[in-house]
Amino acid sequence: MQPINRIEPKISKMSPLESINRRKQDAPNIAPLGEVSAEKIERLFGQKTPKKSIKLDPAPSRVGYKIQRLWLTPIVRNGVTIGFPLMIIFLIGLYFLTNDNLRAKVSGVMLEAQSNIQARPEFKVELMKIDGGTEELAKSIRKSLNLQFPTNSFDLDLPKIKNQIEQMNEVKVASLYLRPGGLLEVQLDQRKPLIIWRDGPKLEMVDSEGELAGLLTSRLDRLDLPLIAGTAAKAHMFEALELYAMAEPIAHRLRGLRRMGMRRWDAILDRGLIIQLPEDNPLDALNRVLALDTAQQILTRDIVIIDMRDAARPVLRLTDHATKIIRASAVNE
Amino acid sequence: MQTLYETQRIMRQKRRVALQRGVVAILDVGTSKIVCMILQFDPSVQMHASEGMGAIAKHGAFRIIGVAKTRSRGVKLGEISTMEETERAVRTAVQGAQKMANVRVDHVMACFSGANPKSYGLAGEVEVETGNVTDMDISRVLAACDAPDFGDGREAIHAMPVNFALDQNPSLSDPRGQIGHLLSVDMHLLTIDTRVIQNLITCIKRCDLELAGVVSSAYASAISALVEDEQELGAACIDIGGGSTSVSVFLRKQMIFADSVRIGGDHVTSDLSSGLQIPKNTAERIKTIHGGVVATSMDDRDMIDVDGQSGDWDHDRRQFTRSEIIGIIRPRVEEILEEVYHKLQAARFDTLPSQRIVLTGGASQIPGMEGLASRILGQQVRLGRPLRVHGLPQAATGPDYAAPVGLALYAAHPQDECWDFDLPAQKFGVKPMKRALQWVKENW
Repeated sequence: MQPINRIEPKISKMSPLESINRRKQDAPNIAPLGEVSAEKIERLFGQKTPKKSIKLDPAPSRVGYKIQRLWLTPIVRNGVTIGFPLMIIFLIGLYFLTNDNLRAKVSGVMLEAQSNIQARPEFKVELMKIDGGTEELAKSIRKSLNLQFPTNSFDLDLPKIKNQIEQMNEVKVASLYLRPGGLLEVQLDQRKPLIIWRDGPKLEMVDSEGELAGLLTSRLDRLDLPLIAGTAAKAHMFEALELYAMAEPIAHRLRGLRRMGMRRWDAILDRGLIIQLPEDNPLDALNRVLALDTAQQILTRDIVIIDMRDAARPVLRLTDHATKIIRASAVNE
Repeated sequence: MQTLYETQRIMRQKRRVALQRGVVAILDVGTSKIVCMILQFDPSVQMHASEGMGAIAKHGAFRIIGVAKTRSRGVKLGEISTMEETERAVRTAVQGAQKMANVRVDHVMACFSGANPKSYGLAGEVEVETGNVTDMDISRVLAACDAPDFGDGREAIHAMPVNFALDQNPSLSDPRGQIGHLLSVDMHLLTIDTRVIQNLITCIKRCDLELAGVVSSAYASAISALVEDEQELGAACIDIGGGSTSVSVFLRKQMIFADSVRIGGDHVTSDLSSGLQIPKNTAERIKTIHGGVVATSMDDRDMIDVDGQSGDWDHDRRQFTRSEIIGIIRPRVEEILEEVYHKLQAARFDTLPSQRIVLTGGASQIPGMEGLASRILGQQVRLGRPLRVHGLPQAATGPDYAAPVGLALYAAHPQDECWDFDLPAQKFGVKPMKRALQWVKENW
């Protein structure tokens, strides 16, 4: 049973404003409906208010229908999907080509971007390291390349530098590497001088391939290398080396070998002594001289030239002094 | 007759254009649903047809590339009652089909079931001019048919030569080339209300489409639901739709009679709605889920919750037995079938050699329909489904799609109609000149 509760409510006369204020006092979270937003209703009553009225009619609008039909028309469709973008690209290209100002601006921006990238520390080159060569060679390479460090790896023309290094006489092959950490590494394959060739006033060092391996200012710089002289002597370098090897016992006296008349060798010893070797079998001839030397110390005698050109008839030319002494003794006898 | 002849010829021209383009839309404007199908014709078959074959079999293979269905609005008893609403529904269907097909269609063939179709049998007779029957003879004999006075505000939708007779040979389908003296023709003329077809034309025009042909849905659904021997030996196709039931009778592969009963499935729904006091859509749902026409003792115990959607607790929680629902549905279905029976009687269906009856259409799916129909209409009743058509989705193979599928078949193999033959020259000579003058007068 419901309790009967029939107490007449007290009706006091209040102005509308007053009553609203009173209501707000009683229940501050309840506002008149007109003021409540949809979200608030959702929050208060836990009901979702529809955001959009549901479309009951599935029919397309007349415009939508026409647009769809237009879109299905092949010419329109191709025009919009292919023709229109092509036209826009074409127009942009045309504008770009006709507008010098814009073109300059764009190229300026591109250059700036390029230089910005190149200026990054990753591309900086601070050192050059030269491996596989003598110190003098390295020094001369540095001097000839004349690179200013630090520099940028984009500014280095490596093929040109390689070419420049390989132009040098002493260098056979050069390999260049840009190592991380700003290092330009040059790996050299230096030519090994085998012999010195005196060509007029020039002193050239020659390697085993007959190539120039450097110039000398003084013979004294490389006393360890044998010396040859004379026109086209270089071509018979190996014969000269064999002769040198044979002349080991008299190495301390041997000054060098001279190619005579582009066909035979002269071995030149100190004190102006010349051993004239034949065109054929110079080794045998030298061997005979050495044998004579061991037997009779011929090289210590007062002799200017030992002529071994005719193997059957070796000839000695004495010094003037010796000749005089011989003449005098002959007169005395 | 002349204006009709011209409009039909124009539509024929448009159909030819559409078939050359290879794409044509089918639009079935029904009372409960509007279906749009997009057909694509195989160009190779078409090319082949244009080389050798004549005007009769112009087009071959086709495929359905788009189907869309929408709830029909603004259509009552198979006729447009609210143009605006129907236009929107047609737009929805056409847009859906276009979207599925990804092809734009401009030409549409339509079918509808209302507009009081009336059948007339006409006969004409001429002497063959030369020894052989030529196209011109056929034109002459068709022109010689004396059109009955079917009254103002009515127009012919179909005028098909059904049967030719040459001298003593009473049944020829194509007498061209044959030798004889006296050529006579039986023509089947189907007339409908002009107002209805004008509404349809306007509606389709407002959707930016061009009408390439109009077909009575009685004819269309019979094409797809009747099999070949039924069409040959004589059969009736009864398409029980939403707003109206159309009846057509076929003999020797030609439609010889068509009519419609202006009662359909929607009336059953409205009976349920008023009987149970529930909204229309609830009634429709109950009809499709629990409907039937034969009550058994099991149905007395089958309680169905019926929601009145009124907000009243007692009203919304009523229960009915299935028998009660059947008790509402059955009289209306019987009424429909009896009306159909009367129409068939009027067409002298019982004199045909075979009296097969094929039920199709959405309302033919009511369980027990076959048994009830055989009690009213005759023993040879079956339920018909539309023919299988290439590309037709599974959802569109039910009996409620008989009319659109039939229309698609018709679009591929149109029946010769009287306007497919040129009228004899003496009737038509000065006409183009006059028309040109009139056009100039109207436009300047």
